[in-house]
Amino acid sequence: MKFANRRARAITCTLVLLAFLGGCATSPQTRSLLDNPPDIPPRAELTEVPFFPQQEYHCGPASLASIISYRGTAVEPEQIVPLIYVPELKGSLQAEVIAATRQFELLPVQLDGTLESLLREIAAGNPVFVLQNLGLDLVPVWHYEVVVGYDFDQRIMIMRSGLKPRVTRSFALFEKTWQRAGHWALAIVPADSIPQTVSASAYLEAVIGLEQVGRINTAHRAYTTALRRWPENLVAHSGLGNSAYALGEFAEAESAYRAALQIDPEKADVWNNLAYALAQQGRHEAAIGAINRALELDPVNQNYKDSYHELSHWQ
Amino acid sequence: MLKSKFMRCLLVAFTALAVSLPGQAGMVGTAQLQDSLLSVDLGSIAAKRDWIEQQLVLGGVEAMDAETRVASMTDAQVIKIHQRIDEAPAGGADALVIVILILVITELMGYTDIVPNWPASE
Repeated sequence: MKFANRRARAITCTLVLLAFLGGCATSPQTRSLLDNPPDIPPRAELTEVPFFPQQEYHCGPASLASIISYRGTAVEPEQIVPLIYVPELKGSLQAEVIAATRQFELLPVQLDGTLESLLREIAAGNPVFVLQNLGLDLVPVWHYEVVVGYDFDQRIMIMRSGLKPRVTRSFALFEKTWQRAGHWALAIVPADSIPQTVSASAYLEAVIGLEQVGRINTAHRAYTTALRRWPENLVAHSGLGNSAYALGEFAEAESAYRAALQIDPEKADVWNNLAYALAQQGRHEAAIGAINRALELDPVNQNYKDSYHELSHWQ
Repeated sequence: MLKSKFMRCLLVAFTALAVSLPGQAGMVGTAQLQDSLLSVDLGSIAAKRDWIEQQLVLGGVEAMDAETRVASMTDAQVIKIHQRIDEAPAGGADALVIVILILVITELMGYTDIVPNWPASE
C-alpha cells in the first residue's frame, strides 16, 4: 500500500514537473514562419560544407573546422582544439569561438536571433554556427553545430552535428533548443562578404574586432566591403581611415576621414585623427588646423590637448 | 550548469600586458569612435587579460595557446568574459546529472533533442 502511494506520488510529481517544464517551451517563430513563409526557396542545403566527426566534447572544434574549411582554409578539428577547447570545462566558450575565427582572417558576425534570418542566411549560401541546449534549462546539454539546410515541406532544419554528417530536427524542436541557448548564431564570412541579414552595426562590430586584435589588412578590406553596402556610414569611413593609417596609407586615411566629416562635421575624434594623417604627409599647418577644430568642438578633451602638443612638436 | 571548478580566487600577478593598438598613441581607435566600448583604462584591461589567461591555463590549456587565445579577444570580450566566465555555457555535449526518466520523456514528447534522429520525425 505504501509502495503504491509512493509510486503514485512519484509519477504525479514527474508529470507536474513535466507540465511545468514543457509549458515553458513553445515555438512561436515556427508557427509564424509556417503561417507566413518568407520569400526564400522552399528548401536549401549547402552540401559542400565539409563534415568532421567530433571527438569527445569537441563539437566546437569540429563545427568550427567545418566552416573555416568551407571558407577556404583547409583545417582539421585537431588544429582548432588548442584555439578554443578548455579541458576542465570539457567544452568551448562562445567568446573563444568568436576570437578563433579572427585567427583565420574571418569575420564572426552575430545574427539577430530570429529563425527567419537563419533560414535567409542558408538560402544565401552561408552556413551558420549555432549553440544549442539539447537538454533543459535546469539540466543543460550545450552543443555546437553547423546549420547547413532547411526544408519547409518536411519542416526540418539540417545540421552537421556530433558524429552525424546530416542531422535533421523539426523547426519546432530546433527553435526550442536554440531558444534555450539564447538564440545564439554566428555567420562566419570572409572580408569581401556581408551576411545576408545583418545590420551595419552588427557587421562593423565584427570588423572593429578584427582591427582591435591587429588583423589590420583584413579589417581594411572589410571596411571597404561595408562602405559598398553602407556608403554613408560614419563608423565605416572612420574605420577605413584608421586601418589605412595603421597600414601607412596616410593619403587614403585622410580621404576616409574627410568622407566621415562630410557626414558629421562635428565628429571631433575624426578631426583629431585627420590631424595625424596630415602630419604624416608633412602638411603641418593643415594638421594644426585640424586639431584646433577638434579642440573647438571639445575644448576640455585631454587627448586632443595631448595631440596638439605632439603635433606642434612634430619632426 | 557544468561547474567550472577551476574558477578559484587567485592572487593574480599584475603584469602590464601591451595591448597592441594600431596607429599613433594620440589617435582615437574605431571602437571608441563607435562609442561602443566602455571607457576602461588600458591597465585594468591588461589585468583582466592576464587573469583570463591564468584561468585558461588552470583549466588545462597550454600556456602558449592561452596567450594566443587571449590576444585574439577584443577589449569588449575581455570585459564580458571577466564578468561572467563562471556562468558561460561551454558547448561540449556532455550530459551531466541527467535525470534519465525525465529526459527520456521530454525526448519522446519533442521538448529536447539529446539523441539525434530519435524518435524519428513525423
